[in-house]
Amino acid sequence: MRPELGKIDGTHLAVLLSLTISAKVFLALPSFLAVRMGGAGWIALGVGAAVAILSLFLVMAVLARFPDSGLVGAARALAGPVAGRLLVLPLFLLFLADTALTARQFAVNFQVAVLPRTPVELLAAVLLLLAGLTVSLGLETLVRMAMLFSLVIALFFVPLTVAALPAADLGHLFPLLGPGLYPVLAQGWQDSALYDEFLILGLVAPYVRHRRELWRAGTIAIGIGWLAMAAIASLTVAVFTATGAARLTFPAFTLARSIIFGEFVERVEVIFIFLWFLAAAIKQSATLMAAVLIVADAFDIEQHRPLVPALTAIALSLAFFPPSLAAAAQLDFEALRLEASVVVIGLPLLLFILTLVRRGKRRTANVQKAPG
Amino acid sequence: MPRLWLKKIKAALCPTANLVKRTFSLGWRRPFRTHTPEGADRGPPPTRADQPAGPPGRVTGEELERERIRSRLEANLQRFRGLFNVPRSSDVVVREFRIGSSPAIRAGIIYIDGLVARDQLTGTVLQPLMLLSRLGRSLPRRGRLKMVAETLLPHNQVRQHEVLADLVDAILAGNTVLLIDGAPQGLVVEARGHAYRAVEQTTSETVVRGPKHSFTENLRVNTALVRRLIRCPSLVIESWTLGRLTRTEVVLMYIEGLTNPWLVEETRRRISSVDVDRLLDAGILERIIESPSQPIPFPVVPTMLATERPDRTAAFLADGYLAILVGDSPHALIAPTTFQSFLHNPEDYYLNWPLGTALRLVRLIGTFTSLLLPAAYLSLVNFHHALIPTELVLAIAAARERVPFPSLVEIVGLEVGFELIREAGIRIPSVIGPTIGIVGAVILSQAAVAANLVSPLLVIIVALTALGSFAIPNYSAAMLLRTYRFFFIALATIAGFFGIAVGIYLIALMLCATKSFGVPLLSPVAPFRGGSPDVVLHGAQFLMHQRPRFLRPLDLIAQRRLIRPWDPVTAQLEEESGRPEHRPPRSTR
Repeated sequence: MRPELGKIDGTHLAVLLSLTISAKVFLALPSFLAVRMGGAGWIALGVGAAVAILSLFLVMAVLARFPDSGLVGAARALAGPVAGRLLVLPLFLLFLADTALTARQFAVNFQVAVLPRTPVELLAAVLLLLAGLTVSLGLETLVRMAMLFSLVIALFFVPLTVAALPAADLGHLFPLLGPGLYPVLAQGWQDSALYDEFLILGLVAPYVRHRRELWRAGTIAIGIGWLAMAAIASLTVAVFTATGAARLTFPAFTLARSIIFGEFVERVEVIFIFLWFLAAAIKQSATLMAAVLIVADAFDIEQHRPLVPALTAIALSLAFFPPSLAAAAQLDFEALRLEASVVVIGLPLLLFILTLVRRGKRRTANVQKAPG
Repeated sequence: MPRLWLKKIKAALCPTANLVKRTFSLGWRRPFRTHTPEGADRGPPPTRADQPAGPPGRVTGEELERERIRSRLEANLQRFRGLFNVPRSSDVVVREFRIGSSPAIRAGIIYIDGLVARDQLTGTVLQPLMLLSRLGRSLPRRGRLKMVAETLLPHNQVRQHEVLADLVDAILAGNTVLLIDGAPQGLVVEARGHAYRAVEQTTSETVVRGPKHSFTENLRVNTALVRRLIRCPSLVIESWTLGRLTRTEVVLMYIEGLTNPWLVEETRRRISSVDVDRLLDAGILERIIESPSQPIPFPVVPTMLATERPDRTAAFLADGYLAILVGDSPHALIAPTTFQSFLHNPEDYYLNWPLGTALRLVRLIGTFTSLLLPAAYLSLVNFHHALIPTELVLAIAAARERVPFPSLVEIVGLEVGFELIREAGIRIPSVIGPTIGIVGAVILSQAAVAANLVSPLLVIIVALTALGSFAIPNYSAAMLLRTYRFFFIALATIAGFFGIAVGIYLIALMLCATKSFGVPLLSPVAPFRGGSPDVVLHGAQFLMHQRPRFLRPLDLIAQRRLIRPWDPVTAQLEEESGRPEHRPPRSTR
């Protein structure tokens, strides 16, 4: 069943997107940032956030012209039924690939952390099945889950960052601009892809109670996402140095390992399994939901539930396309992000230009029709 | 050709289908036989003529609802005798007598012995009619019944009915029906007086501070207990009679002008659609009208709250909830409900807010202990030894050294043993029940440890788990968590903390997807709805200005803006607490 129109609060959506954007930080993202930016990863992330907000503005401008439909409906109305569907195809592929690669990486993370003898395929399947189940229960349930677990995730995230501070040496973050201003800006431009989940706002727009809340929800989500990613990226470099962080597979996990709460509790990283798991499940559910909504909207499918098992199965197959974890991470944070940056910036820009062109044509037509 | 075969099969099955239908359908809606000997020729059904009705043959509810009382007393009494199988039904009394007017008029009363108050019946019905009416006055044929009701029956509740079904219902409900010769109506005298338990102390929701009384097995006493607490004319008590055999009275209570009309309509719709043969307790109605759990199509999470406390019911009503009382059930059902209500206790509100909050936190810890402690133990022992300090690991290993079973067998065995003791403790006579429970638990666990069947640490774990489950104030919720505990044990055995995380996610998914009468079960947390702090933390009384927002009550404001104007500190806090605009209090809603 489709979600009911106008049932989702902007606040709830902001929480969902914040979690979805921030969840990447538990994967290999800090390593990739350390390799390219050194201690300036947080600045590149900030630049990316600014570009994402600009792109969000374009999305809002497009949606303002289509008060009853989302991004897919707008694309179809602006570019025609066939070209519109082709326009949103990269977005669909992006979310589906994101779901698959995230499942693979988190599954390996769990295998390394707590279940060394469990096949990674099984762990990934469990994660994707849970995501599928969540999506089949609808958008309302998904945002409620995000709302409920945001407290738990915050409860784990804050100790993770605070407890790692004693081991941090802020000197490792200098030079502030890392490889230099131009590379940071260029990388920042590409890092806007790390916030690609804000485009979910455009997809779920018809289900949000008040459209004016979308902008606020998007900016809050991007802001919180930047804070979370910047905090862990900086901490990783500050604790392990840029060179050390670049060698880590899961820097956040290693960071958790370095935490010492006292003599009584040893190896607390196991407790953080709840944080990784909940973040992974929510993120995958959100991206899978986005993929399902794109297909449903593109082909006017009234019931989205039958799509869920099919797309979940495809995501599971895609998850094991890369031969190794390193390949999956590289695909996720390099190739896919490059494509994503094009989608994140290009799609809203293209739709915005089409909106302007259409408006111009309509004005011309109105002038011609006007008497005299 | 296939069509012909289909027809043949259909024709062959038709009598069987009818037989099944007849066998498994009961009650007013379906025809029922009145004691005609098996195989005897029943003859044509009786007509509606004004004549001695005799054994009615087949009588349907629709027929009774259409049938009216006749003028002739003999015909009416015969009809009632036939309907109630008198004299074979020994508790149904049909008493004929003469009203001492001039000339004397024949009358009759019908009631069920044991359901009426005999003293009342004699003093307020028979005595005035037979003795006090000898005042020489005559009773005219027209308006005779009305005159009797107005001048000769000093009873406080007398109703006039002319439809047979109404009078039958009244008799079954414990009232007395008076019929007078020449009057085509009957009088219902409410002289109910069946035995029921007096209002006593609550047994399952005990408190130290606050009222102690609880509901009892009498609907009118129960409604009166709530009325005594909410003395407001807007308190509406709507009633239904449900159950084709039990004819159970069900009442829906809400405050008009406060409770969301959509909620009232939805509850009304669900209650009025109930069509069952028996409704013996509120639990059965709850099972029928509760909302389904998601994604499982069956309701596995309680979506209504049962309470035996009138004060709690009144508090819920004042917040904009609805309460349902069922016949002789000593529990009120509250709808809609939210998950946190299962962890609340009325005492939280009667104590100072830090104490109330502390009690809630203890209960929350109890909930998690009850649900997760055995699973966490299994995970630590089997998967995550590294989390435990070395000394403790060695101590656990030493304790488990002589135990021949894996920890799963140990824990499941002990849990099942504990559940047996708990279940047996309920059945054992109350005088020795608790003693047997304690002695059984202590002796069994001691013996099990001595016999090296379980480790001592596990006994502590299971005891803590049991204590945690008893800290949950709601019986249904406690039972639910006890059941889910085994689910978590299974998951922890398979995958340690990862399994527990999966279990938590699944349970949360179910709770998030489930709604109670249209209200999300996890409101006001997910979805977040704000309002006065009353989920885990309990706000100070002077800050509890709002009713629950998720109910969308017609009046959100529960108390006026400054309830402690004489205290500058709290007044300042109230000013800063950012409440909605003040509305002047109304004397009645």
